[in-house]
Amino acid sequence: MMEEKKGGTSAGGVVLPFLLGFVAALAFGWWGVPQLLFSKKTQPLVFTHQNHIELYGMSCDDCHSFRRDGSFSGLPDNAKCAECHSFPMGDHPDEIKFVEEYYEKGIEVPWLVYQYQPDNVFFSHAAHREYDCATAGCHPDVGSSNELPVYYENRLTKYSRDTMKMKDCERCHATVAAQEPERFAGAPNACQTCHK
Amino acid sequence: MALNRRSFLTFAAGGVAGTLFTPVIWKSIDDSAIWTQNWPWIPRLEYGPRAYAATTCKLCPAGCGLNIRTAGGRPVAAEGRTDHPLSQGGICPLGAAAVQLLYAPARIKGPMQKQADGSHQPISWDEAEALLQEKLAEQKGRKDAVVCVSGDENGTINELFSALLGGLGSDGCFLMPGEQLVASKILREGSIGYDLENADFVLAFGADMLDSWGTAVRNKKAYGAAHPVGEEASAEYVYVGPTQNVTGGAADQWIAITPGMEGVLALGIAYHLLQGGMSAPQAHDFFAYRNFVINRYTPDYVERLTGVAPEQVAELARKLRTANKPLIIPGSTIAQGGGVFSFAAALSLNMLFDNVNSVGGIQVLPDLPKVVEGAKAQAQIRAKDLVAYVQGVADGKVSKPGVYLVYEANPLFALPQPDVAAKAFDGSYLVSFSTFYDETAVQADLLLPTPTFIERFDDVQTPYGSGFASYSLTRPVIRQPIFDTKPTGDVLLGVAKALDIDLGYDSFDKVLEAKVAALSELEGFFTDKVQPWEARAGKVPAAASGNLWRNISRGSFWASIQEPFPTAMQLGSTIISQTAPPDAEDWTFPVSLAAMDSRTYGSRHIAIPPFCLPLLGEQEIQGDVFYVWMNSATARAYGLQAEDKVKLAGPNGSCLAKVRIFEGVGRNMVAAPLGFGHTAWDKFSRNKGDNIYKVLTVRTEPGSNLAVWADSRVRIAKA
Ligand code: SF4
Repeated sequence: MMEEKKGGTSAGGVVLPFLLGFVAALAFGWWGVPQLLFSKKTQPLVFTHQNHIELYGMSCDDCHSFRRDGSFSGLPDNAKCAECHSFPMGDHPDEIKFVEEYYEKGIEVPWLVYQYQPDNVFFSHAAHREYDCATAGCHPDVGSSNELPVYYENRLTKYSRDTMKMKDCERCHATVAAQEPERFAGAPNACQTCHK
Repeated sequence: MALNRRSFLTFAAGGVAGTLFTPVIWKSIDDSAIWTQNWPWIPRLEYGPRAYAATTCKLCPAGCGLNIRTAGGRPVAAEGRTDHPLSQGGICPLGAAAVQLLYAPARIKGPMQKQADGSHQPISWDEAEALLQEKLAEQKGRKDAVVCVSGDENGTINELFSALLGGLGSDGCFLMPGEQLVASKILREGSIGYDLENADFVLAFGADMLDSWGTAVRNKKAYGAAHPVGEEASAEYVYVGPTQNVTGGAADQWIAITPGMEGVLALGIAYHLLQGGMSAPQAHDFFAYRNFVINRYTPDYVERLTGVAPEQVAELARKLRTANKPLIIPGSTIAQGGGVFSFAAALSLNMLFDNVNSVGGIQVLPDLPKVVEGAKAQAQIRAKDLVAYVQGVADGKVSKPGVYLVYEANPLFALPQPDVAAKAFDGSYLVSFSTFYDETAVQADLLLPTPTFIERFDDVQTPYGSGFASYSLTRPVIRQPIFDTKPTGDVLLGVAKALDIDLGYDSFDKVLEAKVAALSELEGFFTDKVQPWEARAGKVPAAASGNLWRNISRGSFWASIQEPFPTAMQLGSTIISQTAPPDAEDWTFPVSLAAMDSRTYGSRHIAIPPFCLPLLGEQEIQGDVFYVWMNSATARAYGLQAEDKVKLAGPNGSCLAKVRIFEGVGRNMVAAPLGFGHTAWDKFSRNKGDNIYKVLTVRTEPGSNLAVWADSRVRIAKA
């Protein structure tokens, strides 16, 4: 009897709780923790890349350009936006908000940057300009999107969730440097290549 | 399924197993590590828009244009301005350290007062200014009881000092010594400029024009433009000086000569030119000059004094004669302490070529209009001999002033024989307006720190050596000054008002605005399209228009090539014959001391910045010991070898150093860098080498009564 009872309950009595625990942990680990770890932030203004590109024929370079010294200007500042939007061009509330709350008051729009590099890294866009930003996997491809992605901020580290990981840099450096060692002699995986 | 202990444990085990298939553990470990990067005490980069602010450098008198790069409004680097005629994109090592100096530990953080135990204690600006006013009030009306020593050769601030002193009954507004003092003995009005860019043969006597003399960065650009890489040079440069310094090394020819003998060589060249039939009938004293030179400066005599072979002298004369636009630059290797003799002799060669106010020649430049009522003319201030005065006070021949005001100068370190200066300063109330805790500030009774040029409005009028009259401004490029400092101009205006001396302005900014407004008296232009040397060669610039202040305060460079007055041509025969050096050898101090200066070593009022220390080679300093250079023949004669310790002893002071053997030093000379041996400043600049100013010895030049020390002599011996 004892044996049988044991054996009889072992299938349902052990496997099921184990499975339940297993699944609960998976759910918690894959879904719950990210919810807890990242706070969601939205950009201060809505912005559509798609309209700018498709309706107005602009290119990435028009705003995200390289300066004459080769440094990358990153996000456009108010002055750049005001080249067109120094007064509202339409009636979208955010457009009015840009003009009245930011441009006219001389306050730069506090855009959230998905991809700031940590302080201990030196990164030059100029050296990477041959790579397509989106397909190389460094950036979210916002170029054709109608809205800006949600910004996830890691509550612990305060970094954006989309901050590139060192392994991503390393992987690419290892492959390109290995493929064309002569052309990419400056891109080995030595620490000082990227770190200050 | 009942929830019993056993099922719970199984559930937990399932949870643990499941967790291993999620990123939770690895992510937590990773994030905790990243979190440590964000601890608040870890230095952070400041993000923010990057920008450039155009301004002017005040770290030495050369007045280069700088672009201060800022990130988020915070200065991060200084670069040369491409749109500025005095820098043309270049910068010197000291200028490159400008931003680092802004944050240097040697900065004085606020007003301070000396205590009985010699230490300095912070006080408020109100207290400090009240104290200054009280000390000056005590001296008011007593003749020459207040003396100012300014290290700013070309700022309008000197007008305020001079007018304030005038109001107190004193005439004692002095500049730290420089070439402009010697030049002023020859030209009493206006100043001398050199149109380097248009010359095709440049013969520099002493002047280390590619490193530390005059408008050094502009000179380098002119030299560089004349020596394009891979092409034939369009101008020849010859350097006559004791060492193969930067200028000697870069020049097409270097001629070694003992300091002080430059003039003898110049007249040796004149001898050949005159013998060759050259004349200057437009000069009133041509015949006196001719007789004097031909009778005395014969090839043999010149060779005996200078060691330069007669053929070489004749060859130089030939080169000058065949050049289209020869330019002869007088000067001393350390841009100070030279005599009138050498200066006038070299200048007279220009006169022989009728090179005055001509393209590629020397220029007489107007002083910009004065704007402070009661101030002395710039020419008068320039002509005052601080070193002679200090010697007089130390010797008791001149009565000691009650108060010294020292502005952007470090006389207790950077005057020849600084112990004499110390004696002259001892017992008087010493007020320092220095930005940095320098040797003079350490001794001061009252410290009223002035902001750095990155934090204040200030100006630069025609730097010495420039080929044209000019004006540019420095401006605050930082939102908030870093420390509790106050622009000296404002302090002076405040204290003058309290003493009932009307200087006519409420703030220094207003003085500068008035100066800018007064520029319209001269024909000037902004150098955006046409450079001044191009204008001199015939291009027509557009006259400066628009709001002058607005433009200049945002970085525009104002220049003028207007000739101030017709200059009566004189070869200076009288002064040259009166100041000629004796031809007797000095056997007590048999070795010539060729002091060297370089912007790498800082400037007259700035110690070597930490930024520049890595530029010093191991043959310049090792540990605390610095090197003096001599050629192997000299070393052998004194039983010295490389790395030996050596003592240089002058009549009044001595220095310890190590020997570096370098054949680029003339025979029987020892070359030594200026600017080492600071005892104040911060731990980076302090206690490196020894102070050569201690060994420089002042003598009075007969005929001009000028204090000179560029030709000092020493004894050397193994230490
Ligand atoms: S030469 Fe003088 S003015 Fe020019 S950058 Fe250097 S320190 Fe400044």
